[in-house]
Amino acid sequence: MTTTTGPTVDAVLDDIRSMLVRVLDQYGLDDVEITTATTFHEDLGLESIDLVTVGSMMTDQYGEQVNLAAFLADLDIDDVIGLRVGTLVDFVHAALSGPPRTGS
Amino acid sequence: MTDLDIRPVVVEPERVLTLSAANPAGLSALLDRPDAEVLALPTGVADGARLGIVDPTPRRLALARKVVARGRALRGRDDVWFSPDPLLRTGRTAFVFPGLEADFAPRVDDIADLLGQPVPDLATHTVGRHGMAVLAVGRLLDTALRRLRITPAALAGHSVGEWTAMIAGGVVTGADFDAMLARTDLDALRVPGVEFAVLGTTVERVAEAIADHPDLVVSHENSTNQTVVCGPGEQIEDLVARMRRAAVICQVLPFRSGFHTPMLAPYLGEFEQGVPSLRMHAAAIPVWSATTAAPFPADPAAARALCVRHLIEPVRFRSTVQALYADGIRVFVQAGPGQLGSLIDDTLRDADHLTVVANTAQRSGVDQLRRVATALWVEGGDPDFAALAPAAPPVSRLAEWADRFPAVLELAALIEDTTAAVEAVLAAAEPPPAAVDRTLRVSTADMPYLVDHCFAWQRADWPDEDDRRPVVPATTVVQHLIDAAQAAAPGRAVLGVDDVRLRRWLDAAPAVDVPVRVRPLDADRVTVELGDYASGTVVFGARHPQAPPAWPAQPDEREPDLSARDLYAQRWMFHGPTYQGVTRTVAVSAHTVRAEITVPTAPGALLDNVGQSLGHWLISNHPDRWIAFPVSIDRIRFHAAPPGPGSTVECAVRITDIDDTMVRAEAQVRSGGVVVVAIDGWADTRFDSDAAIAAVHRFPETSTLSQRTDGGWWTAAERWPGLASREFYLRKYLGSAERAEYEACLPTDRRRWLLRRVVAKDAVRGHLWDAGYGPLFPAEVRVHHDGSVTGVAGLVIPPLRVCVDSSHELGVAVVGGRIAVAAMDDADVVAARARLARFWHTPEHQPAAAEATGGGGLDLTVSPGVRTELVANPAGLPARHYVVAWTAPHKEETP
Repeated sequence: MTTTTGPTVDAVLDDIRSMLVRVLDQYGLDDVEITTATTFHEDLGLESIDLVTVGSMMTDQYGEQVNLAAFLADLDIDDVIGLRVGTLVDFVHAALSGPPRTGS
Repeated sequence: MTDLDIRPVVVEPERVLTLSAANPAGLSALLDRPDAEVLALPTGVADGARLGIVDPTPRRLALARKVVARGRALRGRDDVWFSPDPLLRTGRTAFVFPGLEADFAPRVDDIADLLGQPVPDLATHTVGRHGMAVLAVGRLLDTALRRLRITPAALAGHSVGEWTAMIAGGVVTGADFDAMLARTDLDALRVPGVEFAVLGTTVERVAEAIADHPDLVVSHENSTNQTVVCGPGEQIEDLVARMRRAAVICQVLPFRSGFHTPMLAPYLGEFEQGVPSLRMHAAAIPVWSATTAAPFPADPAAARALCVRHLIEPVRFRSTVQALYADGIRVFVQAGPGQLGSLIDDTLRDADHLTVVANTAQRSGVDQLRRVATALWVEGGDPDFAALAPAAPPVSRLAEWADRFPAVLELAALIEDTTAAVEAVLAAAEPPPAAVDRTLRVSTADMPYLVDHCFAWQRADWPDEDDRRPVVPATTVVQHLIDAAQAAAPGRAVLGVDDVRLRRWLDAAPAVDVPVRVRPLDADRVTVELGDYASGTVVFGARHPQAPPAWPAQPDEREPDLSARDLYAQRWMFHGPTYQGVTRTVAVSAHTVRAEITVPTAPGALLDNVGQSLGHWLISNHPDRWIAFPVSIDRIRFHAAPPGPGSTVECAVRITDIDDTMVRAEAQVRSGGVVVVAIDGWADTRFDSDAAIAAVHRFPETSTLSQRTDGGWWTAAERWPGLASREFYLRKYLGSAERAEYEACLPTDRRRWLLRRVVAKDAVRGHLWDAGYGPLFPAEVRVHHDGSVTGVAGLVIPPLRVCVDSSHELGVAVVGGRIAVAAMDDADVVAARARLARFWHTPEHQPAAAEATGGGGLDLTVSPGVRTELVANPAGLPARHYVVAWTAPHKEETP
């Protein structure tokens, strides 16, 4: 059994930044500053429906190994509202660094 | 003064920068200067491209420069709005009202303050209360938005928000809804214990996932990527687990109910007693049903049926948004907190539109409304930013307490003496009323509701507003007396009005400036004069006087023949929608009448409908003389705050005195059986209005004051001898150019001039009707001094000539012939014959005329083509006989 080595944290942040820019562009903005401290709702003005778009972008980019839906299921509503980009980055990085899932 | 210093804390509102230019490049040029200079720029009048920034910080200005240079719209990011091609130039605005969401954190305290309304109950501990809190916030925001001059062209709602939309659009009235709510125990409403799961995916994918689970149903098709499923808890849990494995983002809502699913059907009984039980009206603003994704039907029964379907069928919000977009809606204002707008964005995606949220937990209510106004302005709207600043004077604290806490009144009753003492102290502390002089501009621009109070019907597209004769109703005058009095005693409660006198019509076209003079009479009363048109005494006090008992129903009451609908549809009442308040004619008797009134929106419209009920009594009991208008009201008392627009109240009128010229009455307006307004000594002057002339009042385009005789000529007897009646009918017959002619007549000639003009116009209209012309209003044909006739405002008529004459009370006219009339008074017969002879004094008739003046008798029948007839005044006028001589139209000789 080998352990897959995923992309670096910075690479994931770049990926997520570009996903968010694509979502934001729908609202007319494509050059906002996005760091790990940026909050999804308050800073970027995104709503939970936008997470659906981000979730499917993640699946497209990384495969079923990254299941945002399952991750969000463990959060309560306040956590979702206060979601930070860094939280998403950590989640993706962890999902890609772990052993590949089996049986799916 | 005491050393207690209570000064309001002044918080400067956020600055809003608004800039416009012919195009984005023009805007860029404006922004290409230092920030300080940008901030000093005027708004500009161009509407090619617009920019709005709330609190324009250097960072936001920098952002604005960037987006404007790029030329693509930016809608609200970082409080910057930029529209290169404003949406409202061709698109329209909709208000969308949210339903129940997991998170509910409205910020409305300051909005309620701004509007002078109580803060709604925001409790959400049961589904019933949660729903009503959402609804109350929506209504408050609807009011606030419209105060900002943001008016919707369409309304829609999500789930319970659809009820908000129905209220906002006038399908049901807010007052009826509130009354229904007052009799509903919100905490006791029973709903099925089923759960909702919000799934972040398409309805198609959800349908597939629940295909084999008959207990699970789609309750909401929210947006392209959001669908809600309802069903038993375990199955919902199972579905959510399955969907999450498939990477679908899911959330189980923290409340249970089976709304919008068949699972609610067994519980429907209670809810049918709710909104579907209310009186349904055709919407004033289209209300879109999310059940059908189409506007509500106008038919009350169909609207009611749709209300029931809404409870048990899915909410198709996505389809509704798409249908609204297809209908031209480009701006969606979310009238409440929450995420409804994001569903719209998800559905419309790249289609050019604006969604803007009118309330958010992130900032104060008024600050968020400022953003709505900015966003709408940038899209080409015209919001009133000034309406965001508080302006209302403080209301009397006791009155405010009594309004908000009914128990204060009960307590007051228990400790009457103490209260009286407190009031005396408070009253002594009240500043005495001041003298106020101001000007009231009376025009349909300043008082748009007056277009619904016009005395003279005209063709639908009639260009001359004067000819419709908009008049300020007596009851609206009363409201203006009250308003003026309130300016003299800010904050004091008006308890009533005494000695209202209405001296002459207050016409609104052409516009007129009326001086308003308020003078204190004593500590609690002021006299108010509206020029020489009207006057009254307005009475203030701390507390509404105790209500008198409601009158019992009369034993001889009968069901009225005339329905409320026909009262207006058959034009017994000439009032337009903002004054039409009688929604049911309940009963009439020999001396009383009762009606249900749904208070319309025009100022004074409640009392106006009391007057209309009195009119209904006259129609029912005195059909020969039923037209009447108020001239005085001795006493009006408000026993509670007057019911506002939309309230449904009962009106009872008792006739106290009637003769040919006057009818006097007293009246009660009741809400829930309790008298809220009592009126004594309401006097109406009665107008000449038998069936024939009343037909002209109601249907002037097909009715005449004159009659056609067998000989083909027309005759009119002057049945409007009084100045008031004459003026009333004059306005129905004469266009503005003709009224100028009338005014130019010597006063002694005016009666005769009008009589002749009336009969001439009727003869002309009769002639044109014979020629196949449809309905023609009197003002559409203009008769000139020489007998020629022209069509007015586009009416094309063949060349024709009308001949007219009159004597005493009788006018005669004929088209295409000649005519004369002379009274046959015994003493005057010779003069009469001479007069006729002179009339025929043309070269051809010289011999006959010579014979006549020679005293040898006159036989006009021997003259070629001339015929004579003896006629008499109709009953009711002085007994008088006349000779009429005429040439039949086809015999006329061309001069």
